[in-house]
Amino acid sequence: MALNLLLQQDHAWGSPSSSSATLKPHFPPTAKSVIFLFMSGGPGHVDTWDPKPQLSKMDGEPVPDSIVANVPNIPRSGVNSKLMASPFGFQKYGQSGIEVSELLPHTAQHVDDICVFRSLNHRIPVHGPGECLTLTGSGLGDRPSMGSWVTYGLGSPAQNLPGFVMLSSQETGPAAQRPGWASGFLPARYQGTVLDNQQGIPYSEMPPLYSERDRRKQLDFINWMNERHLEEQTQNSELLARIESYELGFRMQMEAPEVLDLSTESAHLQKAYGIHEKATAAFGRQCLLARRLVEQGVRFIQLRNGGWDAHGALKSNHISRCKATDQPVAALLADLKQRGLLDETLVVWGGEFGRTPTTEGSRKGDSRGRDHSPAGYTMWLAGGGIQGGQVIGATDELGFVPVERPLSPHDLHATILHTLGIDQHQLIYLHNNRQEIPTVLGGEVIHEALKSG
Amino acid sequence: MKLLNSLPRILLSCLLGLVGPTLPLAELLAAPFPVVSDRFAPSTELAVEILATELVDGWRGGWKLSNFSPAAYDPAEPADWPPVVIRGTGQRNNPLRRQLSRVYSEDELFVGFRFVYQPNPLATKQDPEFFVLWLDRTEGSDHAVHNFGVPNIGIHQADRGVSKGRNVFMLRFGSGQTAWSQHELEPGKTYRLIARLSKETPGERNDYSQMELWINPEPESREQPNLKINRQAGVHQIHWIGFATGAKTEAEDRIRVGDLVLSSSWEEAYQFLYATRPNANDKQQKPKFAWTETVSFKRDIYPLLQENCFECHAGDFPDSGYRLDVRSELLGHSTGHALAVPGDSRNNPLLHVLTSNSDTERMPPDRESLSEQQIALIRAWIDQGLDWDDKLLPEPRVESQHWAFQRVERPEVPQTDGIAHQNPIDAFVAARQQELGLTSSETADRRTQIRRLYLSAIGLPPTESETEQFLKDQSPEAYARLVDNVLASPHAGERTARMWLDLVRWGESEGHQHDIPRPFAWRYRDYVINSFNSDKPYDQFLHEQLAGDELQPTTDEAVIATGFLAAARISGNQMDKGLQRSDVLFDIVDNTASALLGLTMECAQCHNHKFEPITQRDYYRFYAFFSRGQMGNIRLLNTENPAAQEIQEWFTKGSYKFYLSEARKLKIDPAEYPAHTWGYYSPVTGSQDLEYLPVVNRSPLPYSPEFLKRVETHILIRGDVRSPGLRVEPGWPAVLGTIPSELVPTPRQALAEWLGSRDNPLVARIWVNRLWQMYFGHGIVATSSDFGTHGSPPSNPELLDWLAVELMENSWSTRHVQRLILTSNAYRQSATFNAENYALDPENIHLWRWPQHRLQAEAIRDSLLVVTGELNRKVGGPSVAPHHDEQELRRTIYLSQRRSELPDVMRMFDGPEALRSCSRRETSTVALQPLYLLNNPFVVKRATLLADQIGDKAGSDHRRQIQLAFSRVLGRAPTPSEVKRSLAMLDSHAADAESERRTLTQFLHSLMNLNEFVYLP
Repeated sequence: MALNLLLQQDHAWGSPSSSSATLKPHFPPTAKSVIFLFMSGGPGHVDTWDPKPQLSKMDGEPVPDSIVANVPNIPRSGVNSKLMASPFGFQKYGQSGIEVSELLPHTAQHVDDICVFRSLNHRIPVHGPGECLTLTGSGLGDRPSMGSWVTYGLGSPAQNLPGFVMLSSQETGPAAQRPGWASGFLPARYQGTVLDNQQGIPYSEMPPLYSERDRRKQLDFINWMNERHLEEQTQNSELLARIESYELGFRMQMEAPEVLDLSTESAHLQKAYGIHEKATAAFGRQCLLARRLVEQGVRFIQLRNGGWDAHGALKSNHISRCKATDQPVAALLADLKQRGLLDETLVVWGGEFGRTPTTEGSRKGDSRGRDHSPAGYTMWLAGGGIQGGQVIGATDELGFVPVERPLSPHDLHATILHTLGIDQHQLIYLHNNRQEIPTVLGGEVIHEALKSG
Repeated sequence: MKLLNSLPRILLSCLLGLVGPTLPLAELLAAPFPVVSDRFAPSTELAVEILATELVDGWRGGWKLSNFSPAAYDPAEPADWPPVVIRGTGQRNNPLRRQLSRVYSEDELFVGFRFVYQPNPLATKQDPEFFVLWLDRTEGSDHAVHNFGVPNIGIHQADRGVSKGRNVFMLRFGSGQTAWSQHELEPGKTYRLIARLSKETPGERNDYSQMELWINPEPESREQPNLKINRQAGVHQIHWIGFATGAKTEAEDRIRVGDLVLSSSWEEAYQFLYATRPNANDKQQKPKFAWTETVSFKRDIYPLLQENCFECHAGDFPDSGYRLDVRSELLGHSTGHALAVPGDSRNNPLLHVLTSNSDTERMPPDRESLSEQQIALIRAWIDQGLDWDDKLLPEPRVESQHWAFQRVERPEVPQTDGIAHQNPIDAFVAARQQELGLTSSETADRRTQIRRLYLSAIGLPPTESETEQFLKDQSPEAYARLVDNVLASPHAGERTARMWLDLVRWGESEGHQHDIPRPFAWRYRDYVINSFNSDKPYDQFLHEQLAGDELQPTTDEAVIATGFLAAARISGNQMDKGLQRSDVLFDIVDNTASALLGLTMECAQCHNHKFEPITQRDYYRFYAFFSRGQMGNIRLLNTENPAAQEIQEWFTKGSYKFYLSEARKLKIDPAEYPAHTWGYYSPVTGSQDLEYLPVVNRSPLPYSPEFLKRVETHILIRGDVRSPGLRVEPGWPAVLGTIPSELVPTPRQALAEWLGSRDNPLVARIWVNRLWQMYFGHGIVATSSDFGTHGSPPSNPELLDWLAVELMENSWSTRHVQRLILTSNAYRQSATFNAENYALDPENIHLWRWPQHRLQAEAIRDSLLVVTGELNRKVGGPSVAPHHDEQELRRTIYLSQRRSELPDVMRMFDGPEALRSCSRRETSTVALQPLYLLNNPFVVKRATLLADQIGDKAGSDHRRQIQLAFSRVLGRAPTPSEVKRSLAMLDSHAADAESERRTLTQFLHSLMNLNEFVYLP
């Protein structure tokens, strides 16, 4: 309860009075930062991380009744369509020998650092609410995002950057859901700051009209004027806060371009992230930026990559989505590891759901695609105290529903919080006289995913 | 029937020789055999390895034990204790689990088992425990948590409710969805449990959603479970059963389990658990007592109710929301949920809760049940017609002493000693200040006055010439004249309209995931602006907005006004059309009550309000005003349609493209539509000249005049659209005034009439308070949309009432009240600090100085455009898409308001999100705001343009530049020290014209960033 009291005070980014304060976690954390790679639209799990040889054998056949019975009655669960073999082959990687799709040859190299969860499931087959569920715990979009809870609970060591940032790429397909980075009923200062791909921190690019010296001179003038103005208006904390916000804004502006300037990275590393190539440039840049933000102490980084909603032509869609993201993700894992940051950075990968093992509608050949599958899908975690090289959970032989260790997005949230040293039941915010916690709708830590067990 | 059904199974079992050895043959023939069972007899000792493929007794394979801490076969004294021991481990453990020979997805399943809990005998205090039987699709592992949607039956320490802190029996579908019983676990006692698991929507692939629990059941408790949980999303199949202990069960704790059964009927499970008992069906099940004499309410019932029920179920705000001291409440008048139907004691909620075994249901809670005799008495009372004594317990009159619900009377203007107040507002303010020992401030200087007046009354700063003109006018009436001019300006309507649009949560899109544009919603925005500009009487303003589709003759203006009701959001994903409709209606009710009546009605959606005199009945009566109409595109009769190409310019390219593609999917072409508006229309009561045109949304709400004609409104029990209760007719909250038996000419018009009547206690008070808040930043009532009993009390009640009466007695003229406020000294005074006043009233609630506050988002952007002289002062018209902003340079209120793409400046400076009614904007201060004002090209461009203008006028004369800049940006002359500091700022150490101009731009840009610039002076 002492923590609760502490948390009521101003402490996080955006509050000018104590911008850099951080709070103590409940127990020793294994992760300091989180990078959430959110694949919007829903990557097909049977095409990426959950190989199904039986599905290949049954291509074009109807779904056997024995399997249909196992699929919960969710709209568009795809059980009345024909099975569709994955167009992609799988092969074993690493010491662990985990099978990964040929679509992800780079990420697969790191499979020994990755803990694959093949048994995620929930009941929301719609993008918007599914995205809200995955990022906030509720499909209604009425609760704070995980990033907001985390910055509320722990603050952020990043002095001159927001504690929670969101970056978006490949903005085709379902629109980004604001609740995914909004603060809900938590104070607005805990919301994620959307970094613009060009500008970085919004409005942090100084107009060409200014040199840094000019800006400093300008701020000194503004301060001088504001101080004089304040003298006439004794006891006005709002005005005082506004004066302080200029200094913080200035520091942010000075620091942000430096952090966002990737040109200081070696050509070799930039190449590793795929920045030189058109297909991988956008996501590669964001992944590299994510690492730089982690170095600055930014607490929660969300990279939203869209376009995975392959209702038709899944083959070409997934080739292009995986091409755009595989190498950057792999480079991020390698880079973090090389710098010793992977041990304290939790990387999360996945979408709002997977895709059905059947084809949608009556398309033929390569124009076939898959519908939404919340009933069974894959996500993965790496770094930040996660025991890599293991698979947790399994779906049935065709990939419809979990048959082992079913997991919910809430379990993933509890686990994310746990790696950060947060006891999900003790992170409390008083709202409308209710003690709100981040996992009010359930969720248990997936202990076997942790190195510490 | 039952026997027949289970006969083949019996035969099969016999043939296979799978009958448990303790069950004698005679009993077997008498009782149906369970589907799957295990008595944990020595022959099925846990140590015996049974192949995973082997089918035994309905199981597949043998028991799987936890490697971590396995269960053990260990029969012990006393001999009738269950033989298998589970030890606690201090963490999650699944010591014992077994697969069923087939997957169960039947609509109903019964599971039973026997256990004894032996907690650590050395534990000194209350020792929390966790032990469950789970039924899941999958096995899990030694440590797996069978949580998400998995039925759990067992013991846990309650975290809420009357059993909080105690180890009680519970049912749950995951940790977030637990039903707690009040049955506390007793150590060392043998328990037999039966649970029924069922699907409320039958079907192989539908979820198990309901569980009931019987603790040590008896045959007569068959219909009376001890605990129940329903409407959950559980797994839809059961393939594994297992026991689990949790972190709370320590190594010293022991649990003995035995006699596990899974069956298709309650009786089978019961028979299995009590195999040695005589046949239960022989037991007498009829009630022992029947009351045949005439019941007297006063003599027989009243004392019984008083002793057992009234503690929680009587008085104005019973905790439970149900009261038994009012006959009409027993009949379900306010909640829609009849507790007793006279003459019919069967299927009767009152008797049900009195006789229920379920701890979550039985009344009185937490103590002995009523005696059989008492229950017989109540049954007879109901059957005999629910006799009542109106003298003893009269029907209460709905009334409240709360100040805001009393008729507004005109207060006397106070006489304060020795001071003559021209404006009665100041007399009221001064009287209050005198009581508290406060003094008000001097009138602010005239430059401050005009700047403040312009910024707060029209949201724009005065131009230099407007300021000069005012300063030149030395007549005593100069300020009053200025107020008149300002209020007559079309921009005053824009300013007041923005406040109204905040309240209405107005936006130009459907909201929710798809947020599809509503192209003609802007007409309502213009209606509001024009209404304020013409000083439309406030009562008429409400009348048009609530009933514009019904007014005769039909006018486009009135139809557009229904945009008020049509500003609700609607989800395009909702396939349940009943829910989609009720969600919109809830939104309309909540918003209308909040904006016009200052009431938090939404609490009464599911139960009688806990602290306001508002019942659930009130809620649904209010709902009934709106339930026969629908929002959508309503055809206009005398309006020109803009060209279709023009419409695409009103939105971002992406959103308009999306709109068109969704329209194509619906096979409609809005380009073909006649002129229309986004409004609300009832084909039942609305004008028959009007026409409803199809709406573009992913899955729109169907429109059917026949359906709307048939609509009846029922109280929704617990707010659930699937549980309609008593039917209601339209009406306003009873506490606020009598509802006539007939609402003429139509219910909505009668509602509007009532809102605008002199006797309405709330409407005028709320409106004048909002106007006050618009100018001062805080209302006389700080909670400007909550005038209920938990809202803030007025800081100056007489002033509030006086203003309300002024409004009503001056034809509901908003402008009259605005003029009164703006000409008061309270408004005109300076912001000078005074330590003595500050000590007495640090929050400045009593206005001893001008309360400075930040400009709203719109005024910040609009001010920049006034300063450069670029503002396009055109009033009204379609909204401007972001990519046309720089060409159009309109006021911010005209920027496109798609809910998910609100203008940057509004997002940055606390604009409302247009989701819920916003009664007052917050002022947040975050570091992105300075970055916006310092680096946003829009702002920089303004500074650059101004530098050109001032540079052209003043040349390179820095002093002249400074004079012009202060005058233009801040509306005043610089002080000598400011001149000095500004000169230093302008000194660029470079003589070339380009760097001179650059420095000047930076200087002007700085002025645009000052606190002084973004705060009301």
